[in-house]
Amino acid sequence: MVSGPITACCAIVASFVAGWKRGIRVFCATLTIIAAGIYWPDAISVSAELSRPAEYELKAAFLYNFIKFTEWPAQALGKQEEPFVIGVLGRDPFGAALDKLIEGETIHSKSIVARRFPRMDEAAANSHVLFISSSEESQLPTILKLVDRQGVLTVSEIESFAQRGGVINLKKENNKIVFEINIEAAKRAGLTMNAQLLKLAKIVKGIS
Amino acid sequence: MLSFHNLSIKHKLTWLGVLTSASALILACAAFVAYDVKNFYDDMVRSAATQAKIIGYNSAATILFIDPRSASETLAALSTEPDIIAAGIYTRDGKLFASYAATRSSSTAATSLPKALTLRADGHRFEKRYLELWQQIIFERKVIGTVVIQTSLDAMRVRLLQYIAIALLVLLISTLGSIAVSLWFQRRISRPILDLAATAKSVTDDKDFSVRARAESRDEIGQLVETFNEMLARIQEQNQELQQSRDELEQRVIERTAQLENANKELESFSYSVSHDLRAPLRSIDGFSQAILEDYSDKLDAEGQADLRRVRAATQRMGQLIDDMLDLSRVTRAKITREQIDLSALMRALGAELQKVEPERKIDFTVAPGLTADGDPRLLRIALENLLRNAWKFTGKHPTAKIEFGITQNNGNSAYFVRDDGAGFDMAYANKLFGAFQRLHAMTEFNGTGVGLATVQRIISRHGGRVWAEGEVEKGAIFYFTL
Repeated sequence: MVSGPITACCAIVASFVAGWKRGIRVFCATLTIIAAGIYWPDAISVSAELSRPAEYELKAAFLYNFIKFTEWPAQALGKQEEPFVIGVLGRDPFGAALDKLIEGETIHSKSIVARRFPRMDEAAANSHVLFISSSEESQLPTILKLVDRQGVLTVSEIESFAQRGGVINLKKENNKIVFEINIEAAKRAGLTMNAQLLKLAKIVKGIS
Repeated sequence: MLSFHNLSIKHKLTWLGVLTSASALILACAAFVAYDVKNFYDDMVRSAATQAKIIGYNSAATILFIDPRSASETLAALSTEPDIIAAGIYTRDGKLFASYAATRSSSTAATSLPKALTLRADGHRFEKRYLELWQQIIFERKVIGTVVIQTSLDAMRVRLLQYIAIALLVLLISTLGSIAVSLWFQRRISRPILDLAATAKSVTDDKDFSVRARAESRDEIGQLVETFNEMLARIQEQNQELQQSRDELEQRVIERTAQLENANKELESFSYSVSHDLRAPLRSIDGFSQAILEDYSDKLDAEGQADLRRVRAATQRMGQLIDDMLDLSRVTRAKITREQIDLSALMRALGAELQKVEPERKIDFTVAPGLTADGDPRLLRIALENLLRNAWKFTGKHPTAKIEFGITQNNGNSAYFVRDDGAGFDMAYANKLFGAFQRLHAMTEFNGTGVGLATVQRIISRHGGRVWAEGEVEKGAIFYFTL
């Protein structure tokens, strides 16, 4: 008897409340390659063997995304006008994928560039992120000594890289890209790793 | 069903109070519930949006590093929110990346969560059983996905039911309260009116104008009661005045009657003494006339003797007149002592007497048998004798006559009658028949003093009866009387 009108009132009120409150947002005109790369449908839901180019496009995206979850000490970033450098030491497995990914992107208002270094001393001196190619495995202890405490985020696919003193070790497990982080190494490099990133990583300790 | 129009004023007032408060209360309850429900919905949306933002922020890395398992773990934190039945994280291209379903309704929730999501701005919509809210995940100023949260509306429904229950309870209690207040108030207003109505009814029914209605208030009803009482007082006054003038009138009638009786008595005693005193000189005239006739007949010639005889006859006639007058006044003054009288026997005896006086008359005299009456025997005898003598006298010119005594019905009353087939009379003079000394016939035709019928009327009227006559010239007359 009484619930009828009350329910009716509520329905009217609710209909006022509901509905689209916000206008439709305009998306960025330039679709970023990161997104395009990361949300590659196959990469997520399809368990088929990752093709080699697809695997490195993903790894390039990971490499780029690590930057976003890492804090560098101010002195390591250098002057404002100097670019943020992603260095690749040794044989480059990414090819154009990395360059496409970072094109036009900035971090802390610095433009991002990718450089290939044949020599390890150059690479250690100029990179903020240094990808050490598997081709350089034999040189690894020397390279790590060069970047020690220099504010360089070292990433590599070399087996047990993190245990051996590197910061992030990219790996492939069950056809998925995973990564290990050596927090001690990151600290020694003066880097702060975001908790969200650490949550996703397998934390390892160095064997010294 | 009774219409409101015919309800007692008591019930009208009660209904007025109850309906007024109930409708006001229903409106108020509805407004409060509507307002609160709106607030609750707003809170629900706000809370869901906050949850979605937190999840979006915490799951940015899982999307960027393609770790649905970690994303699911993030979503699993929602289990602390019992109202959230399902949640999902979608990638930028609309694919479901990770999902969460509350355990208790996992099956329904899983199916209700959209499989794919077209890219759209933040928003929400209300479904039948849940609220669906979507919130974009923005990382480094870029949209990297969307969080969808579905919140159950069960809490809302429970809340609504509670509201309705409370509203009904409040309505019930306040209606009872308003009934009580209305009853109290209506008694204040309606009781004087009902009292007034009852008083008016008792005045109408019992014709008792001395009762008064009670005025309890100084409002319009009080004034009405006062006016009503004034009206009663006015009527009572007028009644008293009427009664008083009626009493006075009665008193006056009694006084006048007494005066009249007194005057009548004086008149009667006057006429009696006059009659009585007139007899003495008459006797002297008659006596000395007789003496002259006897003692001096030789000295008087025949003419003188004849004149003297005329003097004697006139004096005797005057003596008769005086006797009749005395009879009449005696009848008027005599005291009536009632007893049962056999009228038939009386009439037969009177008839026989008259027949004996005039044996040559051939009269067929019939008397109805068994007629009795309640009256004074001496007076009734005089009355009946007069009537019969009358009939005897006025049939005297006929060789044979028929006289009848009986009883007849007249206007529902029984009346005795004496009928003859004698000289009769003209009905034009019917009203003169019973006056004293009134005669319709010449002295030479029928002798008499004209006092007989007057005497009859006096006797009958003294018995509380009535006498009247019908007649036709030379056909006869009927004299009726009642007792």
